[in-house]
Parts: sequence; structure tokens; C-alpha cells
Amino acid sequence: MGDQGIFYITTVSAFIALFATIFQGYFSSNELQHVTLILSSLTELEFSNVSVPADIPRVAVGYGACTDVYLNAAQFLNASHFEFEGSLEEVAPSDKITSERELLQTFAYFFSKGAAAE
Amino acid sequence: MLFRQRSSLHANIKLASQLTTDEDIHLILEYKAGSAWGSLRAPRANRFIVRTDTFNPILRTLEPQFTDSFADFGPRLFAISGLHVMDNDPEQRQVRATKLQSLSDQLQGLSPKTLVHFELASYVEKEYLREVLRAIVPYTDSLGMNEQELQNMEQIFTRDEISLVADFNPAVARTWQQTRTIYKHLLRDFGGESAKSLSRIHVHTLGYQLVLTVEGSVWKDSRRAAAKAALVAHRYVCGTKDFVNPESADLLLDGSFAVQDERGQTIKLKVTEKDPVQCWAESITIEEGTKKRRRTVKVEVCVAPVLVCRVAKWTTGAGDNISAAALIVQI
Repeated sequence: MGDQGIFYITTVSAFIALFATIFQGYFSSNELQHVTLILSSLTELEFSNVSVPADIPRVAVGYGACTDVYLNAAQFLNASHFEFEGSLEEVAPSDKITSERELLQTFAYFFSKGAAAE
Repeated sequence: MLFRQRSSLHANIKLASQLTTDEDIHLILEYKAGSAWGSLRAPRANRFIVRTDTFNPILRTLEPQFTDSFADFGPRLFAISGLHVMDNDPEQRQVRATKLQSLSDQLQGLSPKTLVHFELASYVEKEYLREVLRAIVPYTDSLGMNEQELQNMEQIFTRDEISLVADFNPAVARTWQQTRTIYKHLLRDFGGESAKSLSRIHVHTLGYQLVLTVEGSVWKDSRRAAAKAALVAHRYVCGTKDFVNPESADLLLDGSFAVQDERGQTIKLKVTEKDPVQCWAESITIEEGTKKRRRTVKVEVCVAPVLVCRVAKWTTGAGDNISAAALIVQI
């Protein structure tokens, strides 16, 4: 009886797992189809009524230029000796960075909120 | 700009200022959603920029040769950004005021045929942001900003304080309410001073694009502009140029959403597969300028869902690219 009980439980579990996998597949293919349809409607709009004027409009842009140097923040900080000290509640961002501590604390503040900062 | 950088610009781009032998470097710490540093985790992809500029704060392009070249060049649009480089530098206060004044004069001297767009950025000093708005908004047709910059401006107007961070996925209702609030305040405080009147605001958020245009203004096709901005948001951040892979996209704005108009009436809208971009019309009461001239402005607002890039490749410059994408179809 005990063996049979385990057999039933195993069989039912296997079916539940199979059903969950199929359902997840069904769900994600529906989601993918939904995103694809929205994408095609947006793209259709992007190219609707496009008429290139004979006199293509010119645009002036001001002011400034710079060279951007990119770093992967997480990779860089985790490979460095820089560590975040203290607790997030106490972190106050600095408007002007004058020390290593200010830099790390300010970065921690914006990083933990996912907020753009400059 | 450096001599060697000139070659990376498209040959069609004319450079107004002198090339330099030294440069300003911005150090950009980018991170992906879910990146961890010790016990900290980033809820979304974004960037942190450290800079100590010497050239940019001088705004060399304010030199007369820049706008002098407009007479031949005849731009349909003049896009301004980068003024935040003078932010947060109290030692420069006097120089800054003079620079803003010359910028303001430059804008006033433009041909009425040239539309002016001002793209905001992270400002931390509220007095400076006020000075910037005072110098620019009266002579500007269009503003572009992200949800942080929108909230920042709203807080300055309603509570006289600056906010450094904001919810990165605010409800459309909240974004629209904030946009309407700043629009009313901007026209009240800086309107009626020149022939120009602010007639367009583009708010770009992670999950959607919102474009406001005044009915009967020169701006064309807001629906298409919102759609293009939403697509460029994905292509730029995912680094895929002309292509969107639906498998690497998530929708944060999906199904129904509602907004309220000025009188508190609820407008219900729905993002559908056939019509993902939703637009509505609204009348806004404005008390303009120092004379408090009361008028009603009819606006059209369009909201497009962004197919949010799952694994961000670029976050820096995304706002500028998204704003430009919407502008180019509207001029």
C-alpha cells in the first residue's frame, strides 16, 4: 500500500510538473505574440504617411561636446577594493564630490534607486 | 571638440565652433538592472556620471559666430541642451548669469521660423534651474525631459524643493498630472513675454513616451512621434540599430490605464495590439504671464508603450536619442 501511495504521488507530481511546463510555454508564447503584435503596430505607425519634404529640415544643436569614458559599474567596483560602508538609510548624496568616500556614498545612493545622476 | 573627434561626425554635420586641443572627459558608470555591488542592488539599468569640465561650462558656442551662421544655415529647429554643466558650481554664479543672459539674447535674436527645443538634464541646484528656465522658456517652443526631470521641476514649482530621485515607472495618470502642472506653471511664470509660446512637451520614461502638443500648433503627428520615440528607446538601449527583437522586450505599460483631466473627469484608455498608441484631447486653463491673462489651451496628448529592452547595452544618451526621434517627425 505504501509503495502504491508513493507511486500515485509520484505520478501526480510528474503530471503537475508536465502541465506547469506546458502552461508556461503556452503563456510565454502568448506573451511573445502579444509583444510582436504591438511591435508591428508601432512600426507601421513609424512609417505611416512618410513623405520626405523636398527641403529637408536642418537642425542646429548647442552646446558643448565631451568624450565619454564608459565603465561597467558593478564589474569595476566589485573588482576594486572599494566597498560600500554604512547603511543605505544614512547615505546622503553629495552635490560636489571631493573625496573617495563622497564618490562611493553618492554612487550608492543613486545606484540603489536606479536613478540617473550627473 | 578635438581635432581627432571631428572625423567621427557625419560629413553632413557642420561644426560652428573652433576645434580644441584638449577635451572634457565624462566618466560614466553604467549598470544593468539587477547589478549588485556588495549588498546593494540596482532596480533598473541606469548610469552615474562624474565630470569636471573646463570647456563646456564656458559655453563657447555662445560666441556670435554660432548664431551668425544661422542666417545661411536656416535651421528649422534649434535644439539646446548641456546647460547643466554650469549647475552646482557656486563659484561661477556671476559668470553663469552673464552666460544665461547671452543665451537668452541669442534665442530672442533667432528668426521666428526657427523652432526651439530645450532638453533638460539632471539639475541639483534649484536656483540655477529656475534661472535656466527664466532665460529659456519664454523663447522656447518645446521641452523634453525624463520622469526624474519632470518630478524635479514639478517639485520646484509646487514645493520649492528639488528632488533627486523619482519612481522610475510612474503611472501615466501621475506623469500626466505632473506634466499639466508644469505646463501651467511655465506659462504662468514665463509666458506672454515673447511671440513664442511653449506648445510641446515630451516626457520619456522607461515604460512609455508621452507627447503633449497644443492643438493648431506647428508640431505634426504626435501619435507617430510617440511611436517612433518608443521604438528608438528600445533600439538605442539594446544597441540593435534598426531592429527590435520581441524576445528581448518587456511591456511595462499594457492593457488599460486612466488619466484625469483638469476638472477631475476620468479618461479611460487602453493599449491594444492594433492601437498601442493612445491619444486624448484636453482643455487646460492657463493664467499667462504677469498680466494673468486667462485663456484656455486645447492640447492633444499621446502615450506610446515602450518595448523595454531587457538587457541594456547603452543608457547614456538614450534620452537625447529618444527626444530627437520624436522631434524629427514633428518638424
